Amino acid sequence: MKKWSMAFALMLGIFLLVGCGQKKYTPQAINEDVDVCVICNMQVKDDAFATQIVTKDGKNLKFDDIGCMNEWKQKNGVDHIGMDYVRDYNDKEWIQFSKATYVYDSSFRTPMAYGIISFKVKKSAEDFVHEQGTGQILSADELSNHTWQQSKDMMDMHMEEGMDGDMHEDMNMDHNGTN
Amino acid sequence: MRSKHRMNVLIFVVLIHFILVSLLFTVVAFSATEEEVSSKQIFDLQQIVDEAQPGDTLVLAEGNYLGPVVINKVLHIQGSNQVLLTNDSPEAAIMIQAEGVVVEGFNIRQNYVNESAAIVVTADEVGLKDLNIQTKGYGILLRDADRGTVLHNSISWLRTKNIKTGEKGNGIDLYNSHNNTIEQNKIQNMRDGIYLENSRQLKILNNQLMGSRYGIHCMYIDGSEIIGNLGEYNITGAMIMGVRDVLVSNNSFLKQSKNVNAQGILLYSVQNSVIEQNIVEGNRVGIYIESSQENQIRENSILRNFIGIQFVHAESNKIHDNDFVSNVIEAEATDSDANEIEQNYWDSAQGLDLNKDGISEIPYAINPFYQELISKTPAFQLFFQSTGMTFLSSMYTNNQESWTKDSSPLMKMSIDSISKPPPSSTEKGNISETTFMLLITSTLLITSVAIIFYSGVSKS
Repeated sequence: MKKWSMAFALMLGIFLLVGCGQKKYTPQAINEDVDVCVICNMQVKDDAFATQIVTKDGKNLKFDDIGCMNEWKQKNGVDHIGMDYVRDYNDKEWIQFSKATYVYDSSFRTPMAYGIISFKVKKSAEDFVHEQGTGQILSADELSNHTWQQSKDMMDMHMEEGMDGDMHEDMNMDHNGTN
Repeated sequence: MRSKHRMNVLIFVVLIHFILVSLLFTVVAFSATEEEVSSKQIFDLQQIVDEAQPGDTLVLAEGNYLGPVVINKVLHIQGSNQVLLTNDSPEAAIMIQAEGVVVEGFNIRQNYVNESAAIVVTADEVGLKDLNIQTKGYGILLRDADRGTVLHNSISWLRTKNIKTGEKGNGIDLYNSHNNTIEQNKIQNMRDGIYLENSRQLKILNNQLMGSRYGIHCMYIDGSEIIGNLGEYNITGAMIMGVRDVLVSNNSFLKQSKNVNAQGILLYSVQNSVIEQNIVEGNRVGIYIESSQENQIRENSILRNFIGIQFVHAESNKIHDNDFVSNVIEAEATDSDANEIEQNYWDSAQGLDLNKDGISEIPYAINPFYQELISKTPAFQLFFQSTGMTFLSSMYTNNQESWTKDSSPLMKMSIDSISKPPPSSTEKGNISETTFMLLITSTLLITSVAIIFYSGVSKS
């Protein structure tokens, strides 16, 4: 019995060593006490909007919204990225950015108002759109052509369609000052 | 004879002791009964509301009421300290859907755990005053509700203490609600004390925000004013993000230091705003500014923080007439050019004022040696202010032109802020801490005197 467990431990050890040899970019769990978004400094909530980049030198960068991750890519390029992850809206499982299906609508509320939600399978994305009655389904490739507009601006555009006149002044300013 | 006298004294002392202890308990018991509103009759508030005519003023009789209540006509509902509205359903305890409703002066307990709120307002010009809200979800939500007033309410967390801040709700939460005034509210232990999103021209005045994640959290609230608020023991006092033309003045953000990411005031993507006459004291970072341009940061007192002011990708801001006193690292800047830093007071600067105008003729460049050293090896913080560290810092002149520099530092502090005691928040719920301590110490004193008097060594 003891021999077996020894052998098992040895096997496990070898297995782990071999595992270490390969470069694997595993996502880290979100710790709400210490994790803040690399871009906007907000606390990263352990929810479906959290995203993560594992760099080639093994750093885990966490973001509170996929829009912030996009901003990081714009600033730093994609050369250092080992793997980038988003989460499934329904079960919060980490999924590769390139394999996920996305739904966008300006009315969806996300931490930094980018309004993009990610799904593991296309079917659940379609179900979500059906349920909400609105939303545009996008693949990761299509996302690269996305405008990445925060709903702050969208809202002002709705206002333009016919609301209080005094709001127009704000609106003009917003168009200059998008972050 | 002597022993009889001693006996009398002992009896006297024991009696006094009992009186004091019983007094203490009555005080506690009294405040407890005040809390528990008499539980004889339970009224249906919805029925009372339904029977009222639009424009009526309802004065609620003392007692317990049950929610949820939907108010869909103009009413003025007045309660008292002895009125308690309890709600166990997932709906909000009070839903206000009619313009001009005023609700004031009673206790609300929202018992439903999760994304529920004590009060949800979806109409304009609503007034919420003097309410005492305890909630297991959110406090007050305003959705598409303009020109309202939220005045003098108290909002606190009702569930267990050991819950992550992320799982709590916000105290006051606005979305797409413009021109509202939020004044003199006291909010404790929530996720964000006041959360403001996509709302314009708000006035956030004289609120107290304790023990929450962010005291005030602003996203996209152009043209708003945040004045005279007090934040203590939050992760971040004021988190101001994605705004323009905002005024942040006369606030105090103190003791935000428990979390590794704590700040007094954080500005992210803020343009053309004024941050003036605030006190940021004892925080991890006093004022943190990232990706922000064209702001005025003036006449603030930045005291006893680990890092006084920190710039990251922040350009063309004007920083003047601030007092920097007793900060471990006074200022730190990364990729931040063209900020105008002038006429601030730095307690560690050595100035020379030849023409007696109160402004030093030699600029003050902040030596980044210590900061650079500890950012590489945090353990070197042990050597803060040690002779070796001071000596090495003075040797270090590398790349001096890129140091953060005040071109004309002040010789004297511009604001007399040190002598002004910061507003305190020590008052406790039932009896004040000082009374409690006084009672305890006096009983202890009397007991000890009695023991010495009675059993102490006597020469006879």
